[in-house]
Amino acid sequence: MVFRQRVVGKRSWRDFATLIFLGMLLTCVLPVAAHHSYPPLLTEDGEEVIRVFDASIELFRLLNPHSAMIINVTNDSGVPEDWLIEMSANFSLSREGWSDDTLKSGEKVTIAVLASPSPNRGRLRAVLVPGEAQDEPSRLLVAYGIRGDTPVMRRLRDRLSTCPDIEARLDRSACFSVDADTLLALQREFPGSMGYVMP
Amino acid sequence: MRPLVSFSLVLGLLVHAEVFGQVERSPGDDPAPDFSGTYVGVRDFVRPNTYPLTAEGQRSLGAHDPYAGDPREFDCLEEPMPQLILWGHAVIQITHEDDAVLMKVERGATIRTIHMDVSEPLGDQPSTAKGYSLGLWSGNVLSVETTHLLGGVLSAVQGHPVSSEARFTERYWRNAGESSLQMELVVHDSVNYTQPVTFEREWRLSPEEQVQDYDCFSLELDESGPVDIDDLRRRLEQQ
Repeated sequence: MVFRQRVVGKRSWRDFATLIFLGMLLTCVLPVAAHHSYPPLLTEDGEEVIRVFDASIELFRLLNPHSAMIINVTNDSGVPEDWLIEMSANFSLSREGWSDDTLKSGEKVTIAVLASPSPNRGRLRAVLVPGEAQDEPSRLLVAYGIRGDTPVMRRLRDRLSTCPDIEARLDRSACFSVDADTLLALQREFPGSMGYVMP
Repeated sequence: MRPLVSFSLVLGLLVHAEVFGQVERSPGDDPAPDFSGTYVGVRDFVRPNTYPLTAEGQRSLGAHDPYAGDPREFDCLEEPMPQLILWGHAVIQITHEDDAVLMKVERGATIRTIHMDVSEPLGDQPSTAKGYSLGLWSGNVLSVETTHLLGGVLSAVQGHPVSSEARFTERYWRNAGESSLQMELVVHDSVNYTQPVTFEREWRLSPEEQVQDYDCFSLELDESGPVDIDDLRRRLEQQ
């Protein structure tokens, strides 16, 4: 090992160090985060299309590199459709407290998705899952377009408490607890289908 | 006289050995620091404000369509360098072996080998997504040089190109009194950039974290048409 280091050092180490030094001198730097692509469906004005459904969850799996949910909806013409809804990776969501039971098969939900050019594919923006018992609060799970330090997230944080079992420590998702009275107040303040999670 | 000559000879040899030893001793001869542990990359890392693109680099960047589909995202292909270690949420486990430093990267269940026992890659070394990495201790700094790359982009969204002739140099070190690792990654690619391009990132030592299993499931999406839900349902139920 020592011999190898000497050989490398004589061969190229000085050039190697010089290039690093030049790189530091010549390059300005700014902080950002890396991410991957998703083809959003855009309006003529370049806005992302958000669609809202009353849906039934058929299947939900935490997966890498993207978790997946199949939902059954009825389109505007009254025709049943099945959609694929994508979410963040298992390795992120599971660290925030998600499991395969976070969304259960057969649950009736209201869901907002970022549409894609594919007619039955979207990314989860938010899903409202009613409580199992009448007096149990609903859960509002939010993801793409909302997570992180966004106006919608600040709006929700100001008005709602968070769920005990999901912690948004990676900013991949967040979960809010919504009782019936609070939901009514939100709907009045932000009218429209899931207006409280709209930009 | 003879004892004096012998004494002088021995003394001379000792002095020579000491001086020679000092000249020949590289910083790496000291015990290398132990970077073993599990680390989480700090999400906001540092990248160039501007990229000094060559004409070819500008052409490649202009031709990149971030929405044309990133096969790495859905088809479970090997994540290329440097995206492998520049992901937003990245967990790595570093272990030291006699002849290598291993980086187990959670994303893609990738094992990255930094060879510490050879001076240069073999002549017929194939090009791969990870490339071939040679390591060198310089004092408390682990320096890595990576070559034999397939080429592609630095980031699927931004699309800044990397040629197969590119070379990456990385440095890893700990600041005094800190357990975090600091990383500097420099892209040397004269095909696409007129100057080296530098990234910086902090890796927080996180003993409470574990590199999780990464079972990849391709959604096998064809972005030109509707999702085949029946096929997807069948594959998910078998999964």
